[in-house]
Amino acid sequence: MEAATEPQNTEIPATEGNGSGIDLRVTVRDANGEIVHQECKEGDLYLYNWAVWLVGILKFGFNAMVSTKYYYGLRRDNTQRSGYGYVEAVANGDYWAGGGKIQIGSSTQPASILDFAIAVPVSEITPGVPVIVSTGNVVKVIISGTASFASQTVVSEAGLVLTDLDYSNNSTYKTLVTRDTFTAVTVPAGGSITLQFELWFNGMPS
Amino acid sequence: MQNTTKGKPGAIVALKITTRNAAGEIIAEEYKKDDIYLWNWAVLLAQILKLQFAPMDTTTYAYKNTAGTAKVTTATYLNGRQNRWGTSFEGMWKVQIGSGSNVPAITDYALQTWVKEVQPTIPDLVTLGNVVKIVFSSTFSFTAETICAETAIKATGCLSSTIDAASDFIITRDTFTPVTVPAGGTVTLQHELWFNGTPS
Repeated sequence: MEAATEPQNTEIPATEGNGSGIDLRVTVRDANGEIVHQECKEGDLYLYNWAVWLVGILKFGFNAMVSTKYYYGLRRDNTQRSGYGYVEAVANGDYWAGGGKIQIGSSTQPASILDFAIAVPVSEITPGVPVIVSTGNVVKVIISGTASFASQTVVSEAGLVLTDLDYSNNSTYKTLVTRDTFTAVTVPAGGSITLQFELWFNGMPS
Repeated sequence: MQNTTKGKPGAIVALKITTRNAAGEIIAEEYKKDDIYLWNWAVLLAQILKLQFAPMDTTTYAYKNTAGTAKVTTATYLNGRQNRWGTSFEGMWKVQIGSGSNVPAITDYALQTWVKEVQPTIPDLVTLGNVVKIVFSSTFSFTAETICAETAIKATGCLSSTIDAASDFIITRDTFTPVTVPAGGTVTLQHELWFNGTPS
């Protein structure tokens, strides 16, 4: 990996608490639809790739024609993701549309912002339409999806993977933007697991 | 109830304000640590994510442009570089400065009293441990004495098929201690979008 793929380390004031803006809610059901496990994890991480993905949008908006500033991350297949900010137009489902997924895995390796893939992939699902919820000045974007398993399956990690906005809907150009681990759960045969990501802004869960 | 908060906000906007006189000397500095993203920010993110997950779904999101006009996103559409619907929004986003001091709320859709807007610097990514932030700055010059007290990040056109004033919307609005910029002076605003941590 080239040195440029490493994030820039610059002095940042110390932080108070975790300060993360992601909640992960995990619900496991058996074949009868009965809940057999629930967990709400607070303080999960946005990955460095989230910032790379987001900064590309901002740079395109602010100054798209200056190509001297590149942003580097790693795609989920461990190839370098570099770009100076593109947002390809989308209409009627073409280009990068339709590429976003929730990935599910079975590793318990703690998350780090330099993660670029689920450690032990198990399944990949398409989430539903995001929902925006607000109370006072707190606003959340909520994403959820459900995976069903025909046989008993152990699950303990999840992440959101997005298609880069500067490429067509190519499976190579996908970037993991969050990765979280949770208490390992065994989904019984015929059961399901529902994962709900909550992206919090201007506040954290109580 | 899931929306109560504890401690400092999680993903937040921090803002540094530096005011200089005509000789370039700093005459005022402030660092604000808990400014807010607006509802429109969530709409922008949700629309992009919706197209990632369910591009043909008919769900739309409601927002207001900078004129206060109620609008909705187009379910299957986002403007961008391919230029198939006219001009792309590339290079059209700005940082605005104003003189209003109304307390920000996520329902804000414009500066209270617009003064000026400029193109900010190209954003940088900065990390320490698991904290990551996006940083950019904007310098405003004034030929006459000017009072400044608020700022916003203005996005143009990405949610609309036509790029015009009606396609402008703001995604953050923050106020700060009012500063009087002397004639020939400047004020520099540094926006910091924090993730996984908050300033101490």
